[in-house]
This record gives sequence, structure tokens and C-alpha cells, in this order.
Amino acid sequence: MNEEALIASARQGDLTAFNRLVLAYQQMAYNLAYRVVGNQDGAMDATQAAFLRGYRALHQFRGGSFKAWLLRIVTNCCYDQLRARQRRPTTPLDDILEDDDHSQLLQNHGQQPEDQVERRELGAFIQAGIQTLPNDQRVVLVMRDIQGMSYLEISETIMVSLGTIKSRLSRARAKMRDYLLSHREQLPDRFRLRGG
Amino acid sequence: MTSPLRIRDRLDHRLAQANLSAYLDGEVTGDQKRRLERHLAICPGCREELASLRDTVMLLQQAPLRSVPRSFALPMELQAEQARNRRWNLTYSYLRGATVVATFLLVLLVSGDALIGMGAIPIPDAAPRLPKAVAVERVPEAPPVVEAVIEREVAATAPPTKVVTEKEGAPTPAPEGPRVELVQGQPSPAALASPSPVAEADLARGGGAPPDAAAVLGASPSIPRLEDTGLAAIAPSEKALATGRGLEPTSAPSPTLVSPTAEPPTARPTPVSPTLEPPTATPTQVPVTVTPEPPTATPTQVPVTVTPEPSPTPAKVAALAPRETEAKSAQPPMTQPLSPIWTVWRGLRVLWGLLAGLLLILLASTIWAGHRRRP
Repeated sequence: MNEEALIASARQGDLTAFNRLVLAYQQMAYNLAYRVVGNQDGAMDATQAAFLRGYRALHQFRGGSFKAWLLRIVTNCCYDQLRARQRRPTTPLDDILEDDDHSQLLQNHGQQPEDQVERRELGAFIQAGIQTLPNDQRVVLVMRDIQGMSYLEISETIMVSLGTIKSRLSRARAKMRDYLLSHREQLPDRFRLRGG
Repeated sequence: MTSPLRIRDRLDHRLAQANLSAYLDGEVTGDQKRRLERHLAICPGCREELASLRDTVMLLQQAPLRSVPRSFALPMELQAEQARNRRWNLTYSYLRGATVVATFLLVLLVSGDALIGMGAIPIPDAAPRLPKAVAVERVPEAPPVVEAVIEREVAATAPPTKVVTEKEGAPTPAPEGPRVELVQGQPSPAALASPSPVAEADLARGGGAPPDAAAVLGASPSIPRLEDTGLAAIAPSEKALATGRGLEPTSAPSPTLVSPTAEPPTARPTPVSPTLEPPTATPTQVPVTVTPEPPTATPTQVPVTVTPEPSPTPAKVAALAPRETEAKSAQPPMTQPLSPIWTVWRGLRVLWGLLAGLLLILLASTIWAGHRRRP
């Protein structure tokens, strides 16, 4: 059954059809939420809330890109998580473990890491750099450079103009470049940026 | 002086600084791309900038995707809850729409009612006033002396009528009209009791020429002349004459002289309907209302029926005047029929009162449905 048929069936109240859509988009939604929120628990809460809100608001979907519509809900749920964290600052256990991972990277920067470990470390390092960005630049950077979405898809998802997307993305990339250059000794050799 | 070439290079440099990221993704226009490539050829700083951005993007694209820790599929219990929410949402939508419509109608009705009340919206007048029940012009009561004279003339010119009394020649058993009480200079009862020979003759004939009032007055020795008697007979009240009842004795002397033979009050026509019909030309007998009263000097009282004449004389008008009062009292008060617009206006007031109550109910229902539904 194609996506349009599943959407039509889900709008009639068929939860089984909607769960099939969930299975198709849950990884994309979770990775977006994880990169924006910054921790696993927050990402899981935001993803589950987004799918629940999507099922209840499916009658408001007027056609177009279902992916953009769903990721918009995910983004809004991530913003809710970030605002809640600012009101009640906490340190999730996963962040401590990742910090440990990051510290292990610092301790192991002279040895030849395995590819999986290197990629895991790279991911943690990138995540740390992303967390330094403002929320609006973070979302655009994750969508474009990690999720691989086009400028038009990003515009439809977060409902901003193309010029705003270019501006935010340009600033976000510049800040990430500066972060990576300032901490390039923490990167594996083959990932270190040129310049200085 | 700055050369145009340097100005152009400066502008291109600013364009490059702002659009290198978009140029990296191919999101620039043709003109912008040409200018950027021309500038990159001559600017090493922009070339370094572009290279560092390219490496950053490549590094970000190598970030690993995280696996989903668990399934995010929704539980099946949610389906029934969603169906229930849909019904409440639909109910809420209908109630909200009905509330809006009711509010709009109420505002419209209240505004229209206010405008009509203030006179901003003209309403056609009610139906023209109907003519009054009694169209007869009320003639002011003539002086009593004149009245007596008129009555004598009427009696003299009245066409022959059928006498009301049953037995001819017999004295009337009871007075059929108001009882005339003489206050001053009363003739002897005997004189009054004996009927005049002329009147008796007329009665025997069974109604022929009406008795000549003047002849009767002049010939009958029993009936005193008006100028001799100085009677201060009490003029019967209009109402008494109309109903045929006896006079109410009053102490106030009235100069009205009423000849019992000429036109006793009992002979006055009975009250007619409020909608007066024009007097017919043919003489008709008017029924006389007889009220039981203790007999008095009845033999002298000769009931004479006065028929209405074609042309109403002032006497007739005066005779009709008592009936006017009774007609007025008997007739229900005339009301002007309402125009349709007034009826509709009153209906609108009732309608907007009902609509206000309905609006309150709708508002309460909408608020309750809003609490029950899940947004």
C-alpha cells in the first residue's frame, strides 16, 4: 500500500495504517530529534509526542509532503523539550556517558581507532559542536547537512523563506567550522580540517 | 579615487562572503554564480573560505545515524479514544457555529427593535380611525320651552301611527314612559285624570290622524295651558326616556314643559343599534320598551308612538340623543386595527427574547463540549 493510501486510511481512523507510516519515518524523526535535543531520553519523548500529535491532527493534513508535515511536528516537539529543559535544567545520564566517550576520545587521540569507534567519536564530537549553535541554526544545519534535505523541503518544514534558510545555514556552517578548527586536535587525523 | 574595477571587486567580495554556503549547495542564481566564480579567481581568501566550508559540510555528512532505541508505534487503545474525540470535536464545531449564528440574529433583531423604537425606521401609521359609532351630530339640548314647542309641532305633523295600547278607548293600564311629576301649579289630579274628548276619539278610531296637540291643548279644559300652569315639570332624563322608565324626581325645577298628550316620553322610540341607520321614509312602528312601574295617573297618559320622519328634525335628534349615550355604553370600545407591521414588530420582540434564551443555552453547551473534547 502506498503512502497516499495509508494516509487516507489513517485519516478515517485506521490506527494500523498510521503505525505503518510511523515505522517508515521513525528513524528519520528520532535522529532529527536526537541532534536537536542532544540526548536520547529527550529525543525519545519528543519523537513519541510527535507521532501522537500527528495521529490526532491527521485530519488537518491538507496534502503535499507528508514528510515535511511530520518533521514539522517533530521540530515543534523538540522546541518544547528545549524550553522545558531551560526551565528545569537537568543532566541526563546519557549525556554523562557521552561526555565520558568524549573524554575517552581525548585520551585515545594518539592511537589508531577502529572505524566504528572513530565514527562514534566523530558523532559525539559533532553533536557537541551542534549543541553550541542557537536552536534555529541548529535545526537548519541538521536538516541540511545530516538529514540531507533540500532547501525547499526545509522551507516547507519549518515554514520560513529560502533567504532565511541560506542565511541561517551560512552562519551555522561558519560556527561549526570555527568550532572544528579550534578543537581539531580532538578529531581523528583523517577528519581534521585544513586551515588554521 | 577608487576605480570602478575596485568597486566591482569589493561588491563581488561582499557577495561571496554572503553566498559561499549557498554556492556550495548550488542554490545561487546564474548571475550570482558568474560573479562568484570571477571573484574566486582573484581572491585567495574567499577560496580558503570556500574550502573550509566544504570540509565542514563533508564532515557533518559523515556523522553516523543513530538507530531507533524502540518502536514508536501507537497503542490500539488510542483508536477508540480518537473516535470519541472526533465526535466531540464535531459536536463542538456544530455548537460553535450555532452560537455564532444565534448571536448574529440576536444582534440583528435587537438592533432593529432599537431602531424602530427610536423612530429611525419609519413604520406606516395604523389604519385610519373608523368613524365613531354615533354619527349623529349631537345637538345641544334645546331649552326646555323650545323643546316643548318642538314636540307639539312634531305631534301635529306626525303621520298616523298605530297606537301601542292593546285596548282601544281603554285607559292605559300602566305608564309606558317616564312618569312626569309636576312640581308647581299642578292642576288637579282629576283634571289631569280625565282624558280629553279629542284624544279619546282618536283612540277609538284606532289611530287616524294624530291628535292635534294644539287642539287637544286648547279644547281640553282639563289640561291646563302652558302659559297658565307655569308648570315646572321635570324634564325626563335622556336615559329614562330611552329606556322608558320612570322619571327620577329631582328637586331642581326645570322649565321644560312636557305635554302628556303631545308627546309623552314613553312614546319616544326605543334605542337603536349603535350603527344608526338612516331614517326610512316609510313610517314604521317602533317597538316601545315598557318597564313595569306602579300605576299613576295613567288614564290621562295617552301613549303616542312617534315614528321617525325621513328628515331628522332637531327634535328627533334630541330624541336620539338619549340613545346616543346608551349606544355608547352598550357598544364595546372601538379599537383601531393594528397594521401588519406593528404585529410583526411585536412578534419580533417575542422572537428575540426567545433567541436570547436559546443563545444562553448554546453558549453553555459549547463551553461544556469544549471541555469534553480533546484539542
